[in-house]
Order: sequence, then C-alpha cells, then structure tokens
Amino acid sequence: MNTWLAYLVVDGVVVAAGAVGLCLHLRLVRFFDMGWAVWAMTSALIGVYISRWSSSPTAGIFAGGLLGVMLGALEDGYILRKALGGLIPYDVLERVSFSGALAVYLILISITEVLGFRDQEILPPIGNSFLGLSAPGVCSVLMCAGALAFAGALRASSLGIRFRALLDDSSVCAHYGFSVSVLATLVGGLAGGLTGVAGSSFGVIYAARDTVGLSFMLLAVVPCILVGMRNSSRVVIASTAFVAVVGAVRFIFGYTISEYVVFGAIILLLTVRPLGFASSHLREV
Amino acid sequence: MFILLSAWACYFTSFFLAALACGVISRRGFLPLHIPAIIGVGAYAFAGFAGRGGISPLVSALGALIGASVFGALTGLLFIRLRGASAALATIAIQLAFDQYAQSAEWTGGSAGLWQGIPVLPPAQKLIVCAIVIAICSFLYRCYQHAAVTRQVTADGISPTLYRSVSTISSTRPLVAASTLLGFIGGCAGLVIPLQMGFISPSSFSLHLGLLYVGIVLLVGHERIFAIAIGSLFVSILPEVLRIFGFGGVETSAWRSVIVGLAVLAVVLLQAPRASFASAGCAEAATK
Repeated sequence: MNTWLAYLVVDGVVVAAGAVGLCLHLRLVRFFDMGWAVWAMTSALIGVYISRWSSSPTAGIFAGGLLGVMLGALEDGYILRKALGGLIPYDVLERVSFSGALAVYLILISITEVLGFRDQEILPPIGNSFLGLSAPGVCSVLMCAGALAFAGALRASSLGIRFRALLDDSSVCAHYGFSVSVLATLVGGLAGGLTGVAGSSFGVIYAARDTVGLSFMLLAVVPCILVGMRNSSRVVIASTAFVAVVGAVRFIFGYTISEYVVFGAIILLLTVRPLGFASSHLREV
Repeated sequence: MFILLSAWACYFTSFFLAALACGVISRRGFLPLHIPAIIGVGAYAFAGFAGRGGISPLVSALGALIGASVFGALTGLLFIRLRGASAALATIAIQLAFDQYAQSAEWTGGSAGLWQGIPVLPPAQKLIVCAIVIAICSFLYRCYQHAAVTRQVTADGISPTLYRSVSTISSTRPLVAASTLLGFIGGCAGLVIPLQMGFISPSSFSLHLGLLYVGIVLLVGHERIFAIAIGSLFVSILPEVLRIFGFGGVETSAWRSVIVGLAVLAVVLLQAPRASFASAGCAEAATK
C-alpha cells in the first residue's frame, strides 16, 4: 500500500506538472506540437547528468527546469511570431514542427548512446528516504509542486490575466497594447519550465531511458484529452486520478499491464476525441 | 566477402521495405512510427511458426505475411478518425505497447529474443530471397502509386470534408487497403530480419528504428522508389562507412542516427514552406 501511495504522490505531481505545461504550450501554439517531448527528453538528460555530477537530485531538477524555460521561451516565442506573422500556415507549421521534433528526438536518443548513458549508470544514488519516498522522489515532489504553485499564483496576477488573454484570443492582446511576442515568450517559458521540471524529475526518478520524452508525453496527454485544456485545475485533478488508476492497476496486476492501460487509454481517447482538444480550439480562435 | 555482401543485402532490404511501408501511409499526412511493430509481428510470427511450431519455412513465411497484413489492417482501422500528429501519437502508443509485449511475453523470448528453429540460409539463398521480396514489394508499391486508392487516401488525409463532398466511396475502404499493403510490406521486412541475423530480439523492432525509417521518407520523399532505395542504402551502410573513418563499436549506429537526424532537420528547415512529407504530390492528388 505504501508503495502505491508513494507512486501516487510522486507520479501524480510530476505528471500533473507536465500536463499543465503541455496544456499551456498547446493552447499557445494552437496545434499539436511534438516539440514538448523534446523539451521533456532534453530536460531529463540534463537533469540526470547534473544530478550525477553534483550528487544532488535538486540541482539536476532545477537545471532541467531552467533548460525547459529557455527551450519553451525560444520555441513558443519563435513559432508564434512566425504563425501570427502569417509567414507559415498552421497546418504546415504542425507538419514541420512534427518532423523537426522527430529529428531532434532521434539526435537526442542517439547522443545518449554515444555518451554511454545507460539505465544503471545514470541512476543517481538514492540516499535516505522520507515517508517511504526516495530522496529524488522527495525532491521531485517539492520541485513540481512548487512549479505548479507558482503557475497557480500567476493566474491571479495581472501577468496571468494577460497570459489568459493571449491564450484565448491573441487579437485581444494587440487591442490592449500587449506585446504578443513578449507574452508568448513568457507563457512558453512557463510551459517549458513546468515541462522541464517534470521531465527532469521523471529522468531522475526512473532514469533517462530513450523513450522518456515520448512515453511521458503519452502520460501527460491523457488528462488533457480527458478534461480539455481550458482549466488547469481540472488537468491537475485528472492527472492525479489517471496516475492513481494506473498505479492501482500496477499494484494489482503488475507493471506490464499498467503500461498497456496507458497505451490503450491514449489510443482509445484519441479515437474518441481525435485532435479535438487542439484543433477545435484552433478553429474557435 | 560473399557472406558480408549477403548480410548487407539483408540489412539494406529491411530498411528499404520499412521505408516503402512508411511511404504507403505517409500520403495520408502522418508519419507511421509503428512500422517496427508491424515488422516485429511478421518476424515473431515467422520465428514462432518455423521455430516453435516446427512448420516448414515457406508456410511459416506465408502465415507471417498474413499475420502482419491483418495487424496492419487492424491498426489502419484506428486511423479512420485520426489525422496528423494525433495519428502519429497513436502509432507511438502502438509501438511502445508492442515493445512492452515483446520484452515481457514468454513465447517471444523476452529481452533475450528467439533463435531456436530460425532457418539459416546460405549467403546465395539470402541474396535470392532479398531480390524476390524487393521485386514483389516494389511492384506492389508501384501499382499502389497508380491506383485510385492512393488518390483517395491522400485526398482524405488532406481534407476529409472535401473528400466526402467529391467521392461516394467511404474513406474506410481505401485506408484499410493501404494499411493492409503496409502490413504486407512490413511483414516482408520482418521475414528478412531473422534470416539476416539468425535470431530476433525486441531491440530489432524499437521506436528508435521507427524514427530512422521515417527519417528516410522525410529525406527522400515517398514518390520515387529509386530515391527510397538510395536513401535506404545510405542509411543502412552508413555505420560501415563510419567504421572506415574510425568510429568503431556500438557507437557507429548511434552516430548514424545523429547524422540522419541532422540531415532530416536540415531538410525540414530548408523545405519548411513545403512541409516535407505532405509535399507537392499530395496537393496534386487532392486536386485530381
């Protein structure tokens, strides 16, 4: 039971942070962008590397989060500028970003091989535990919960109101004299930060396997499809509920079956609501 | 030298057929990252029938092809409502589920893989088998390119609404036909892999390889079989070329992926306005 609870706490918070980051990113770019998986994978690699180097999971997760902020700000600021400038239509942008993300992903997983990253080598030393959680688990929970709390606190601020205006309708920003580019960069940074912290936590806890980015993306996408992307609180609740279900299946039937639940859920949900969460929002806008 | 040549031929054939299989369905506007799973179904079915079942290799090959084609058609049914990145995401889920299954199931031999009973052919026969499957699959691909079903799949991928307004045929039938062909070609690739290595393991059907197969199509497109062959040749012999330049050991295949990834990235960035895999051919088909 303790194992299940520890899994629920750690994975629930990590997946929730990742899912909120994914929501922000998708609402901002308005198409399904696989670049998010690249952010998660890169942050996981850097997070693991730094945590090994410094022998501190916190340093690794912090570095991964920081990298995520940079990647998110760079990509979202650039993509949105391009798209809003009308230089590239959205459908073309989606295909290009997808192909580009796959190429970068291929490079990243190959670099892990070249650098000799292997599961048993990259796992940071798991030291003392707290309430049944390992040291990296405690760090991950604190960092991800902190990132989520920061994002929640932003909602009430004037900056958060501007963010929501940008996410709902970018033309409103222009009307109120906001700089769309700067706002997009900031929202992208926030989305990237959440993704980076979540991705590096995932890497530090489970080791940066070559599929961390993509399998983590599948986990994070499920809550987004389930409850939509308009309300971050719902996404957090849905993420925790989904992780609880997967954890219960893992606890009762074993790891393999729980993995099938994740993959089955994503296929089923996508078939029931194909691209609905991203493209319908695009059409609304 | 002859043994080395036959090994290279098998390796090239598996890449070429996998890239052809990608080309079959990429016309619909998404990249099929579950190709290794389809190849794996063919390979495991062949190894299962021939090795564990003790059935003759020819009948086993036939059974494996039917199995892979049915699996291809079933996965094709999933994509009736899925398009673009959404469909690609579903293919990633299928691929990862297959990975999980191949590594955990008992009859697949788990991570260690299967080797019992897989027929070991002499190099000359390997070359003949490769030539036969390349000829059959290229012919089928060529026929598919000129068939009405290709235009229907392409048009449905670009705009389902437009497709429904101009065509009375349901989009399900062409999609299932295309997916069955994808399964058949993938199954052929799955027959070559056990012949090449004498064993099969989950690492021969990983997502990493799926990215490489898709990378070939992104690099050379899906219109010309010759270009796909050149692309496959480049990707399959790259580790050997790298070895000549002193990149030895396990890292050669990793460096190959880095080079292919960089090349794909360059092509994608240079061709951004044309969006690589849904290129001029698709637009042309939609207007027909």
